[in-house]
Amino acid sequence: MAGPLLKEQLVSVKHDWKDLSGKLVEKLELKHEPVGVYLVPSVHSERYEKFFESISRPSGKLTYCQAVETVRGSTNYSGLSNFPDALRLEAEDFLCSAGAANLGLYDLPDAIKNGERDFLLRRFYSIEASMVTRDKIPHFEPGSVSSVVVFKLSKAPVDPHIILIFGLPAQILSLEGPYVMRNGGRIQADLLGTCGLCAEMTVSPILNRRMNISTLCGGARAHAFKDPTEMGVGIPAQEFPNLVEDLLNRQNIPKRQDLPKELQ
Amino acid sequence: MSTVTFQAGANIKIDEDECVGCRKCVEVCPEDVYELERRPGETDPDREYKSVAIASEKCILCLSCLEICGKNAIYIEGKQ
Repeated sequence: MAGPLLKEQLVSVKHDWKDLSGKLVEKLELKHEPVGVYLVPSVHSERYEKFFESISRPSGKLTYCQAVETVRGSTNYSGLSNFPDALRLEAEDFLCSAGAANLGLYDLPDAIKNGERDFLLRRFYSIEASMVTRDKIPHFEPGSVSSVVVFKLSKAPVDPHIILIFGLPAQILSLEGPYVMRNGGRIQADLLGTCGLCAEMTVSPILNRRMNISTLCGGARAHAFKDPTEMGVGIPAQEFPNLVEDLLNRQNIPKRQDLPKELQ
Repeated sequence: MSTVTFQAGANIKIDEDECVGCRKCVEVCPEDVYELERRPGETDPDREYKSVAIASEKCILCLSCLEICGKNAIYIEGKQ
């Protein structure tokens, strides 16, 4: 049976995230650098939380998207005097219960879980349609996550689980080709415009083990991401180094001698 | 696994100057947190009512009210 992770396993950062982040920002001319997300599991949480205890918690409640917006340096919703490079959110720090529940901090309140809230706000044709839609929003098991750490990727204190990248559609488009270059295929977007940052950009890429594209959501755009031209992708962090490498390689014009021999 | 239970309740403030009593927050709230109240002595028919958070302890932080308020009059925990 696996025991608690050793501190060395927790803290050993495997990639130069600052370098990778800088390359991506420079290549795509992104306005803001990517944001890393680390989800602290409830199992052995006390061990993890010791490691993250130096990272500030917000001084008041804020939504997950506001926390991301804060650490990327756009608007400071944390209530802290300085722009923090990283924030640690526990269950009581969340202003948006759906976001916290999607991320596994607790179970959804009944009126959201049973579809009533979305039925009233989104004007679904039936409460059943509303409930099915809510149920299909990607989410972790309630209570499986004890806290969430978000940080500027260049200041990553740990290897993130997920990396969030925001940009114009043309900038996001530039990521799509390089993402499939290595293995081929297509990108299947898992989105609805509800729970954009939490479910679509954070939970979905973990559950489905692939990059996901999001047009964000009404809540994120109302509470944090005010620039309507922005959209985002969430990518499992282990895929990020290859993505950056393939993005940079793409500018190299392929040579005929690189083709398989039978095609030369 | 230690499951944290969601605790209902929030600090809700409504900017009376901005609120026009349109009733959207009353209709959209699944927990009946809001109610319309007549403004005493108000002669402007467009400002006859205002929204009041009568049961903020029931708020489930779904933020529907923030999303639907066309006047940005509602603050939950000081935020919009």
